[in-house]
Amino acid sequence: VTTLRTLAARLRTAFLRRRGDRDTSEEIRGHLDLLIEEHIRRGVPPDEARDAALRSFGSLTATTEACRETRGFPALDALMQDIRYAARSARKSRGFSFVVVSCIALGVGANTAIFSIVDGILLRPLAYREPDRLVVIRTIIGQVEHLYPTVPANAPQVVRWRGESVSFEDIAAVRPETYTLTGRGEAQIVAGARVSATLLRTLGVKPLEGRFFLEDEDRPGPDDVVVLGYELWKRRFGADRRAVGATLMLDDRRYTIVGVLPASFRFPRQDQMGASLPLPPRLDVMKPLALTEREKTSFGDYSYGVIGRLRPGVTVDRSLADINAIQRRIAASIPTTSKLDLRAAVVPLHELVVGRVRQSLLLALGAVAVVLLIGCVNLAALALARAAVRLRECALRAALGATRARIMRQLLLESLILAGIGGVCGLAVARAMLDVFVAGAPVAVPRLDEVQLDVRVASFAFALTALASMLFGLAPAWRGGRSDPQRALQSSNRSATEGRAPARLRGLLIGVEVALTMALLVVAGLLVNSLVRVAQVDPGFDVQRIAVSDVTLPITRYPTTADRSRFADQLLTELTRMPGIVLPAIGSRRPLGGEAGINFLARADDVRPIFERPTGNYRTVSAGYFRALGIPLVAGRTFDESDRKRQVVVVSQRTASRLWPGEPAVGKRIRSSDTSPAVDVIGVVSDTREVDLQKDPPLMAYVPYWGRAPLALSLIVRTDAPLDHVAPQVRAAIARIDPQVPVTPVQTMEELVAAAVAPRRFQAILMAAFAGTALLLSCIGIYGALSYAVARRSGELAIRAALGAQPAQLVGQVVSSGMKPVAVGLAAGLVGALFLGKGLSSLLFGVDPRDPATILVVSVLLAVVAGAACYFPARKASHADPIAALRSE
Amino acid sequence: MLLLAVNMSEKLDVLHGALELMVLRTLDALGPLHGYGVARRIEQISDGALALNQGTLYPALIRLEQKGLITAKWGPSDNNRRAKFYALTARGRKHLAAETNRWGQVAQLLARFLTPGEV
Repeated sequence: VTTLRTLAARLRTAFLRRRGDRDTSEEIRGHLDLLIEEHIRRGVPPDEARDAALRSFGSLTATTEACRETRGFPALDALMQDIRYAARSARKSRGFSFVVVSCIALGVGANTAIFSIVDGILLRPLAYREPDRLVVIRTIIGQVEHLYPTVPANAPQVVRWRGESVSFEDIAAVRPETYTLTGRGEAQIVAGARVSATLLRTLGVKPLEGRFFLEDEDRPGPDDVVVLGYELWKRRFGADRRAVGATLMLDDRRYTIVGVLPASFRFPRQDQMGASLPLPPRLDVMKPLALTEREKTSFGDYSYGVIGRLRPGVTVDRSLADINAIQRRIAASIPTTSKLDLRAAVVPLHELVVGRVRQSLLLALGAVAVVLLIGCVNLAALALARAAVRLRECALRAALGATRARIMRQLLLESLILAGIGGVCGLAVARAMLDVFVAGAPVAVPRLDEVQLDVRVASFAFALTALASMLFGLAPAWRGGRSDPQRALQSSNRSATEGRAPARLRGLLIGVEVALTMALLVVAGLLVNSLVRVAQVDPGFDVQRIAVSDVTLPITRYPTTADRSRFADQLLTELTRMPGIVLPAIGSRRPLGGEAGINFLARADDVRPIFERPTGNYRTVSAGYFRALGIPLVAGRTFDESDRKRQVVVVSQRTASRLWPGEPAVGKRIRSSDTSPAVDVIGVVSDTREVDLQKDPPLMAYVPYWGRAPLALSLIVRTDAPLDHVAPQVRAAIARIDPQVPVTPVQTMEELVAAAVAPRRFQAILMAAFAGTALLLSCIGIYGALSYAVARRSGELAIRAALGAQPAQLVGQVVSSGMKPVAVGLAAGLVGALFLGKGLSSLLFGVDPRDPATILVVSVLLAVVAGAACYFPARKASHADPIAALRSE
Repeated sequence: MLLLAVNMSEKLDVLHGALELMVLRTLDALGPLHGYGVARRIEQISDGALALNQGTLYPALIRLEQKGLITAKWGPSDNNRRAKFYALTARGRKHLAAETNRWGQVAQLLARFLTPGEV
């Protein structure tokens, strides 16, 4: 207890030290006065009394010192002293401190932000139980593998995989669907899926309210139950627990709600479970899979995503062999003319979810690491230069009795303080960058909602700060601590020329900096170049003055093609009458919506086995589709009313030249399969990139909507009025025809194009920002190092000037001494960038990873910036007045 | 535990523990007192046998205060100046009693130890 009490008292007084000192000195003064009076009383003459008093009191300084030490912690006091000293000297050299703090803040901030993202997306496991045992199983059909490496599973496969495989604890299938939700309020499209009753058990997730489906409900009949997603539960039922047991109207059918999923539940989105599976960003409703007998034998319907949980200890390869054995049995059981090459792919779920963005993220992480490294190199160069200047100061302190450890500690403290401030600023920078990143990132980045600035990341930032501060703090501390006071103080002059070692070290630092910057600049240059090329791509259709919206017809109200095409007719008529609308059109898929309606697209007289025939994208469109989108007609004609009675098709140029090379296509016939009817080609339109802006146009075939109108339509409206004028009109027109039909928000084609390019733009801007930061940092570094070198050599330069050297000669000399390491670094960076470029090609568009133009531009930019950074210190040197320079020594 | 040492000038030099005990005993006997008073009293009692640099008293006073054995309060001194008066606390009184007892035992032990003929 006593020790604690003492400690508390010491702590208290440590912070009230000034008062303690004042108290002590007043007390001692009083004591001395009394002592003097006493001596006088005893008869000592007054002028001697004081000396006598001091003699019997002992050393005043020693007493005060002893009191102070007793009061506080001597070590702590010394530390506080060092901190104060360090803070003072940091304040004194404001420019240096500013550069240090901003270098660290930028480096740490960017690193933390990017690390948070990488951590949230790549490193942190998916929010499922033991996610490393979860895999996605996809089908490989050897005959179409060159077109579609993998496709989703079909129902017969799902049934047999579940029944016959031995590698899995559980297998669950998911079939994405959309439903029209009616009942309370406005009709609404909700994204949902039919899922196996085993899904939650497979994932290892528990419902928030109620229960998940029973095995018995996973069959037609008792499958009139649903589980709600958290969002829909909140939106539609105000998060009321009594929703469980209530009914829900989907597509005019009545369902009982049996459970609610937790808010944290995430399901892989579109493309995260492999291509061609239209999973929505959020599942609002789940229904039991309940495969019908027809579905169980429907071999052509590849629409099921399959997730499996591996048994403990089973490898992915073993499970693949297991599934492939089943696939061979399935293939053998199908009676076809050509033997079906049926296989499977088993991919870890995590790999699929983040695989697409891993490369981009790692690239960003590498880039920020390089930026931080450049910052550190800068700091090291700066601190080294300063340490040389401060050698005298250190020597003086050593001469006054400071130990080497104390001097080192003090120098280290100085860099730690700056690094600490930089680190704190860095956290603020990270926060801001993260906000910008999350707000600016394209929606396609997975798990973005799981990204947060957490404690682990913050400690990562501080670890980095400490490391950075050590890197640049230790070197000068070591040199400062080692300096021999006598020699340093005796040589009152800095030597006329600089030693060889520091010059070489400086050259090395500059070279490293330039090399890193060069590599980063090349990567950024290639990405920006790709972005520019994507922006210059001719989509083949008009982008301006076109509005797009998706309309989904409820299947219960529009069960047949006739119903749907009647709706389409009415809608087109209704819209044509409206002011501001130049031309309305309908398509089965919005432009840039990706591959859809894929089928075999072959000449009617093609006799090859079906899998050897070409495939294409089919679009169901209205007659005005081509004119509305500005797609030029190359040959023949487009649809008109007279075609309602017959089967016709319009093909793209590429289709025409592929099927009938060198011959006119109009008048020929195509067929999608041996059983489907042959269709007359009545026209050829030019190729477009309406499937994917960044891919070559695929084979396209357009059929009129009255033949087979789909439930999901895309409304394309050419307009001469602004969007906010068109949007309400479109909504009103649809509501007049059928208020039960839900519509998505109206977007402009420009927005669609921007969204399609957004991921690429985002990445290019990010990398350009990093490269720019790196360039700025190296520029500062080169300037700083060279300025210092010029200051050191001012004597030498002055002598040269006095001996008749022309200013131009001096400038040339300094610039060349600075540009030598720059040139070496440039070459090294170029080699690195070429090496790096190979792994980069998948991120590029229309640009070779060794694109000479990009490399040339980047090299020139870097050389010019470095040259400028060298020139300004050099010019200062040439203005040196010999007399002033020599005198200042 | 050796608490007293003989210094070069053959005068007794007092180590921390002993000096603190003397301070406590002085305050116990005379009541609240300033530093000068305590020093005077110790010198009187030791009768010149103790070469006390009066300054060494002050760190001891601070230590005792930190341990909560004495309290310090500013007040007017005899010559109408401000002085810090130290007073024994209840803890200090208890501590003094215990230490006096222990010192007695140590003194007895040493006396027996150092008496010729013993051991």
